[in-house]
Amino acid sequence: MMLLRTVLRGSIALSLPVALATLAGCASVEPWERGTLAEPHMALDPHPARSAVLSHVRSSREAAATSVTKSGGGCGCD
Amino acid sequence: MSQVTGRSRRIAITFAFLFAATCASGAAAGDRTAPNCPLDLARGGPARLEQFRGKVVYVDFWASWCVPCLASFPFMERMNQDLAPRGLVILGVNMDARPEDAQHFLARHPVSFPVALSGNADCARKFGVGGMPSSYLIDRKGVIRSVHVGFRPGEAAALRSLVEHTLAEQGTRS
Amino acid sequence: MTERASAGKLALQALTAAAFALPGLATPAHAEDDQSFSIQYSHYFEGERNLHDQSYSSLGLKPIEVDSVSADANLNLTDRIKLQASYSQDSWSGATPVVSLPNAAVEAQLMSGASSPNSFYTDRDHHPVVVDWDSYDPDTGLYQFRADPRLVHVMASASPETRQQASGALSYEWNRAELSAGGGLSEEHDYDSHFVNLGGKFDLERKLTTINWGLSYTWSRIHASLAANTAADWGAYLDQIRDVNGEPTIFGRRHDLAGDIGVTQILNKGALVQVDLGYTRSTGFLENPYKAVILGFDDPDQYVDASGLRYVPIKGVLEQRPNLRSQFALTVRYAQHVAPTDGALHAEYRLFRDNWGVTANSLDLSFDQPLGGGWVMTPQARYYTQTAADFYRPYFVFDEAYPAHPGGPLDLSQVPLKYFSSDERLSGFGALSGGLTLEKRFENGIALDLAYEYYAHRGGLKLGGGGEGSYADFSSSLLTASLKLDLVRNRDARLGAVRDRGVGGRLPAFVSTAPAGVPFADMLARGGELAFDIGYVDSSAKGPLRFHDRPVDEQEEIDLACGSVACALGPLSRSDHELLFEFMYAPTDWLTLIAAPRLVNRGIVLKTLEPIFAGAGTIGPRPSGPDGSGSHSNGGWGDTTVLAAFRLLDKPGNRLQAALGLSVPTGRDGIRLNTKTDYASYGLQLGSGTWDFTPNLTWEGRTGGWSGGAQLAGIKRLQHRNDAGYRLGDEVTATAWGARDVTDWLSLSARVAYEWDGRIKGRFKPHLEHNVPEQETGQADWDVNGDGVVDSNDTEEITVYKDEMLPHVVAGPEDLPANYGGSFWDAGIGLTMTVPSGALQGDQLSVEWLQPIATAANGYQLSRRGTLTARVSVAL
Repeated sequence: MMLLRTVLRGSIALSLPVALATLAGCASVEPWERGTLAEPHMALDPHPARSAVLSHVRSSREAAATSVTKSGGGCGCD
Repeated sequence: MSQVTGRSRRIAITFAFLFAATCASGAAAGDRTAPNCPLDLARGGPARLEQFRGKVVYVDFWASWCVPCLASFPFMERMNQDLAPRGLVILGVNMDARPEDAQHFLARHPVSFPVALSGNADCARKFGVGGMPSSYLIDRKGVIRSVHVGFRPGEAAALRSLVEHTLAEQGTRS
Repeated sequence: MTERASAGKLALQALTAAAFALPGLATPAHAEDDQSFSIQYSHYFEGERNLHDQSYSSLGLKPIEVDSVSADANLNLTDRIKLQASYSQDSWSGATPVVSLPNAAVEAQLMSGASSPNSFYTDRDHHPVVVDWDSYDPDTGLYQFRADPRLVHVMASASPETRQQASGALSYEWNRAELSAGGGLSEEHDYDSHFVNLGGKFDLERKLTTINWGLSYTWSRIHASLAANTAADWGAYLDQIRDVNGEPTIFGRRHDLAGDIGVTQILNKGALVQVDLGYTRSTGFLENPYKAVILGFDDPDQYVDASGLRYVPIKGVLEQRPNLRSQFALTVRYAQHVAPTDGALHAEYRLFRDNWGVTANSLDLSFDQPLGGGWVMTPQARYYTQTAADFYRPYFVFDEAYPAHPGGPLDLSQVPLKYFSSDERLSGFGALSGGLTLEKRFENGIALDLAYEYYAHRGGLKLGGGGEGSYADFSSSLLTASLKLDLVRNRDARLGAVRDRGVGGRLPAFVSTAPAGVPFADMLARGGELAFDIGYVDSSAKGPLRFHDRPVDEQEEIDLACGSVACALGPLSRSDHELLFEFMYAPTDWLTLIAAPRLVNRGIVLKTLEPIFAGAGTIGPRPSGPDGSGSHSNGGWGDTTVLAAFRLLDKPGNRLQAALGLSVPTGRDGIRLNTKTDYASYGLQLGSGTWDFTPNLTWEGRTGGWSGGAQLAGIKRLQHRNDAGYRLGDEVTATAWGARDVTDWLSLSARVAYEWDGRIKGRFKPHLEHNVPEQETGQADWDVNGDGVVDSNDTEEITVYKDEMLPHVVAGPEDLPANYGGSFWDAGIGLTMTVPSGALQGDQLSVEWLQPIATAANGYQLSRRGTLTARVSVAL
């Protein structure tokens, strides 16, 4: 039951940013306007090596499992 | 429980695809005349794209923050040195929000082809730029012959031969 | 050493709690086109926990410390195929909690002199109390007592244990999607783990929306020694415990399946958000074999006195957790550009839930602020809170009589609970941490950063209250330093420098193509160059023990291999591995300066030799169990070499260089393992302990596609003795090799090497041993000589316990200096690759296998099995 609620909440949360963006309009950011997002400190995880060590150390003292940054954002270069 | 999960997930994915469908924009090539953009060339002052009619024009939309541009610039410089005598004009159209960033990039990667700094957003929109960098090959008649989004070193050879092929066509010199 | 001084100290084998983290999904993703090479060093250390009336120093404990190093490479093999490879190792040592129990039980044990806590007392209302036994009032029939509601951890120590992990992944990139597949393994002495993973992403809508997904599968094997955990009852696991090299070892298997899916969405020019949902399903042996749980039995029909004072016998048992753990995690990440300062705000919220009853929330905020000149400062803060697992308690008390099988062991079938754990990781608590990172980015693509974080684990910080008491609180610090090389920008900068100097073409930074196993054979090509080199060396030796190259049987080993005493232990195998970092800088064209620290790991497996020699085991290493047989390892920083390499001759096809080096004794030479008082054997020490002179002369020649070279090198110890009382022998090595270019970027080499290692001079000095039993003549309080009076003539032999300086115990051949050194002949084959193009152009990767072909070893030694060396050299 608790698991069901978590999954439901998660799926709704998943569709939230997509819905947001749809409402916000699609022409909001042109490909050439991605300069700021391409800056290294705007990456979702600007310090991946440190995050890896931190999550390793924390998982030895905390019960919650490790989390990972996935790709996306950034300069959108092809 | 798995049914509910499935439904929520399907809703989310439908949203995503709807989004993609409504927002999809393509950079169409083929039989489209290049827009006549005004360009403020760094070493040449104001110009318009039409004045290069009769030459093969390679328009490259670039920015200092675009990592593939580090590889595309040496490629374009080499191509310029080799093919400019045969009628190739390369135009680097910069899209940086801050011109200083572009100047800094050019100081480290000096090129001999003309570069247009600031004020090019309109031009990019008219061309329908869909990714950075984007390069448009325009033949001697002013028609966009090919659109290339992104730059990978392995694609350089194919790009170059396409340019040479277009150069070899007879243009309207009348 | 005896166990009287401690409160139930369970001297356990190493615990690497990190063994129970999942490496499979933990490989960090990188931004597109981010070809890079990075290394990172981090040092983690905890503060002391509150042991109430005892202290770490009185128990010979030290708080947990971890040294870890990791190296990562992200490369584009072709336009669309990318390779990601990582190696990391961590060395853990220090004390960690094993059980928690009422402090009253510790007091009771100290008063009774038992070797570990076995009971405590409570008042009529079941509150733990400490009884004053001398206060018995015969009139009332009552004892005096005082309440002691405190809880305390029993800590156990771990000697430095090293975990190694290697992983890799290949990805293929389409224009709008990417697919990657990878795998890896993690190994340490008690836990092996293997994993495979699959992942990918789709870009929608001109890359404004990205969908990411990942799947991973991990299978692990646990084989943990319980030799020191004799105070805990193993009853539930008897069918999983087997004897390995004299140590009872518990075996288990574990499988983890994990998946996650997420959406990354760009919101506007300066903000993006990511939502990710993950699920992990773990099955199998999910317990921590080094953790025990105290079970107490309060018989309702028994009481001690008329006030209702109650006696609660307790017993430690290995913890029991369910065989299935389902975990869900929802993560939301947000990045927002702050235009006025060009800063970036990062926020991460995470919700975690599992079927063990643990719910955790965390909020992590950080702010990357560029300071100009390439400097970036990032303050960071995090709050974390978790609820306790359903089956967690600091200790358990059941209202029943102590259920024992006739003759002793606990009858677990009478315990009403199926699952119980006192692992603090499953308790309720909150944690607050804060830190700062300082980064400097250079124009040539190098980024250096330094970070510090302070972490406070407090039961009182748990959201909603009800967290574990303050006895479980602790704090820790994490210091990290890293170097990251953006390969594309670096090559771009180097080509730019070439252009500026008016020189064309490709300029390699390195001049040598010596095989990987030849140390310090290279120097930089030009003044002003900077380079970095990592080498990994792995060597091992196996039994049977040999003397003058003939195998030795066990009886001869016992009689002769330990000098004047009989051997109690014999080595079965030895393994050493080393990670060497070389920082190279050339101030001029003819001089290169090198600084080379190294991380060293040494291990040995010992077994008890039959017959067991009575009397050899009362002090120092014992013939069996945790102080003797089994596997022992030691890891940490070794000696640092600093070298100046001079270019003597540099003609086309002919090169000669001479290097003058000094070995700085940064590696510890007086190490004792666990909490022992005697030194670990000479072969397990991490450094020589002396300043050593390390010169070498290297010649290389080349003609056409053939090349070759030779090197003469030596180590001369510059001090008479190190701090521990001995000095390693001098060394001389001579080696020659030939190589053939297979393609213009790959060459194969063959090499012969001769090495002479001198004998160890001196030996370990005596060490201080506590509580050494001695017979003394003392005054008796009874009439010994039968003369009718008790006076000074009545003496008897009594046993007293004293502190004494004892010589180093020679328990096995590895403890005898005469069994070190010798002459060794080896032959090796290798390959060297110089990267021809791409982001790593000019850099080198080499691998070599060196095989022993003849040995004239001093004394009794294991036979060497061969050495693998792998090296990567990168110009900066």
